Amino acid sequence: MLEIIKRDYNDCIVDVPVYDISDIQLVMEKLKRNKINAHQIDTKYTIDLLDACAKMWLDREYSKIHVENIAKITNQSKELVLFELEGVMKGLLKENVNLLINEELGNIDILDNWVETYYGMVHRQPRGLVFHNVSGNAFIVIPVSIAMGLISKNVNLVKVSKDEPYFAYAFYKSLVELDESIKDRLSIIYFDSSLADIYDYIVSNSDCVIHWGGKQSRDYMANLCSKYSIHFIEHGPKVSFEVVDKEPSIEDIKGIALDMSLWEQKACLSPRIIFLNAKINKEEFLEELKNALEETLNYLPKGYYDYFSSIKTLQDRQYMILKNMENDNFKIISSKTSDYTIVYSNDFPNNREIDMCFSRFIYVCPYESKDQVIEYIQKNLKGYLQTMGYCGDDLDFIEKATLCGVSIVTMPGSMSFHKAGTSHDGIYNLSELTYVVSLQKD
Amino acid sequence: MGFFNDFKTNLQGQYEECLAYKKLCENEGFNPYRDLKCEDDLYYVPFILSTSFKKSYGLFTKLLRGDIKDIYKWTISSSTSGDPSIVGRSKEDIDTLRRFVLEDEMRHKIDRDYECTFFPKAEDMKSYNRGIFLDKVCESYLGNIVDIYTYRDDTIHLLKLNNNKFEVDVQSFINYIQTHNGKNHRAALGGSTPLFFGTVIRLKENIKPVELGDKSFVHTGGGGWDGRKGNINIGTFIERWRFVEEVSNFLGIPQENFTDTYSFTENSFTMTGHYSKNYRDYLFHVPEYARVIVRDIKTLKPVKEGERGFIQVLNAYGTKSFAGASVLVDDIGEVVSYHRCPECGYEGMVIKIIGRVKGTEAKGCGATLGGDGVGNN
Repeated sequence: MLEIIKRDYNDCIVDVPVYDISDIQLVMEKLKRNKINAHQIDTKYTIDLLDACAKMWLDREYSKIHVENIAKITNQSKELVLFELEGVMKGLLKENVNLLINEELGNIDILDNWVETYYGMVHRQPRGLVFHNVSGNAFIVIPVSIAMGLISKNVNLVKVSKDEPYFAYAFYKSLVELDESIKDRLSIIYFDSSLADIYDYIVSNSDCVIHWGGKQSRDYMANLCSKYSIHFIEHGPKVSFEVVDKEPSIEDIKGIALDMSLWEQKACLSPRIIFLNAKINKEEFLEELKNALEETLNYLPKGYYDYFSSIKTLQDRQYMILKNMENDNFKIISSKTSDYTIVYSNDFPNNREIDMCFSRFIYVCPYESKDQVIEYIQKNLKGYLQTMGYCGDDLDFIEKATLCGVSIVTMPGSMSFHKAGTSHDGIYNLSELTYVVSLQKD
Repeated sequence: MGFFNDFKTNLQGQYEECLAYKKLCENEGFNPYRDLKCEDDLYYVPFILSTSFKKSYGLFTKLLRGDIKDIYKWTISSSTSGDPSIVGRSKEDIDTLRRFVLEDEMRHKIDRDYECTFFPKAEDMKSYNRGIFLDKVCESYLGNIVDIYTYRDDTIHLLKLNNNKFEVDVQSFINYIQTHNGKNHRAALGGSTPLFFGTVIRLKENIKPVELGDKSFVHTGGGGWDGRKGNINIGTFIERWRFVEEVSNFLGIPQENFTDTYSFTENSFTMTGHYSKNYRDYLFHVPEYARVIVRDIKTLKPVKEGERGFIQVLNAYGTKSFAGASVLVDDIGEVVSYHRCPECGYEGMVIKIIGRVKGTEAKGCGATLGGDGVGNN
């Protein structure tokens, strides 16, 4: 029997339906029955639906209450949530989705029709039933994962996280407002993730699993998929960083401040470290970064709904000061409050220190040679790398960084704005959510 | 000399003797010789966070004011998290702690002819996990506090050490409450909140409530309101009003006869609060020999009456050996009044203790390289 529990997220009370295995069996049976129907829906129809939904969310009257709730749940300010939400929704507009399909699949028709090619014809088929396992609370992944699942003509079961169970339901409801039949190809569920038998049931009855989130849950899902030979698409966890190789402009530095403010650094694409060419005047850079962070706070303030993240910043900051009190090559520049923290250190951060880099808390480390950066990321971050914000002109360095596992390089200030059709953790999701079929004619 | 001058002297001493604290002050542009001129300046005094004393941080020796050889003993927290705070104390600091604990006890003491407590004997508590650490004795802070409390010779200690594990002697508790049932004896009960609460909740399913009367009273201490203390976990958060109402109903003791004592390992005094039916909470009196500042989580400025924030404690005394003059603890408090207890008229600051700051590491698709939990998402 479906149980509704009330959860309190910083005074935002959310009704969370908790599914048991029998509820999930019913949901999955329904989705399975609709696989063929989902396959027959024109791609254009889904693109128009997502476009209309994104436009609803871009209407600030419509999104207002959701922004207020998400702010409390994620402990981000309303201004920041609105900025992030609008960025995500713009990605679902028709023009961007068309670009995405063309870039990822090479042909807008390939999902609907057999497309002629030199050997005959080629087509993309959906995997079938896709289980989206979302952990953590960077809500960017919800509309991205759902949109990809729908565009690729799959039926989709989305498991939300305990940290942020709200947005997926809200987004789902807005889709239902536009098209009731979306229920036939999309369901949102929550269950306690310690219930291994439910995971086992879901994965063994799915055709594909797409996972977003932490390492242990990723490993757990990977093992289950391996056990049942289910196609596994893995996203996260990741660490991103910036490299300032040439003299940065004020705009570059403002961009870095924006990169480290968005998502309060909880997203995979958020920078945790800035590697700074030692030839660049560090004092000037740190001063400009401080100014840029303070300026960013004026339009994207921090949310202070939650006691923990505020005191955590103070604790981590004090730990760093005390640990390095006899280190002349160490400096902390910070607000008096928990607003922002810049740690300047000749020593590159260890794992514990990288884990401190959330909520506008960043390491700035000088390098004499770019090989030091390559050596560090290779040794410490291999398998975790994603976005590199790069202020420089050295293509050889980009080549080396991407060989280590960096999957996307952007300008400072664009780390959170991956354009349609760019690499996502080294893969294309639409490509992974479908499989290529060929018809050889001769 | 009065609190302010004594505090100033203590802080200046800490600034001179503890390089770590001096560095923190320098980082904030604060100099206690220059910037501490009047009571209002107390709001700007930099604080050490209680977590900086954590064993895993490895900084507790840097937070001493002198040499390790001058330490009389290490006092450690009950380590609910598995990562205890370690505070080095001199003989003089222990004596000061003793003086303040006795003072606090005397202020709230109610005469008793009988007593039982959900604490073990002080010696058992102190010896539990006692060890030698950096050539000095290392003991539980709470054990040292309990050691100061004045118990009767015939006090029943319900928590007994058995094979290096503490066990509650439930039968002795049942005997105690049934012996005094309906007799309106001056019977005291107290000790660890989660154990007391857990026992009452279990017993009320099986035995009838008793009527101990208005001469009986309940005095708890040692925290544990989140249902956990050390290795004890009753699996549920305990609202203070619920504890009082449940226990009051079961034992037949008026709610106004409930008190609770608050302290933490990095502090040098205890602070007792009496329960208020009106506020449905304990009202803690800040003694005149200390100051408490409740700081807003966003601005870190002192909050107004009725508002909540982080608790910072200023100690003028009892921190000669460690940097405990100004400590911000990860507990949330609410200022009831800056001047007077609305219930009993005590002249001084009155606060409510809301509880420990709760939270988890940031999670999202950004990695925490220390690992995360499949059961946590």
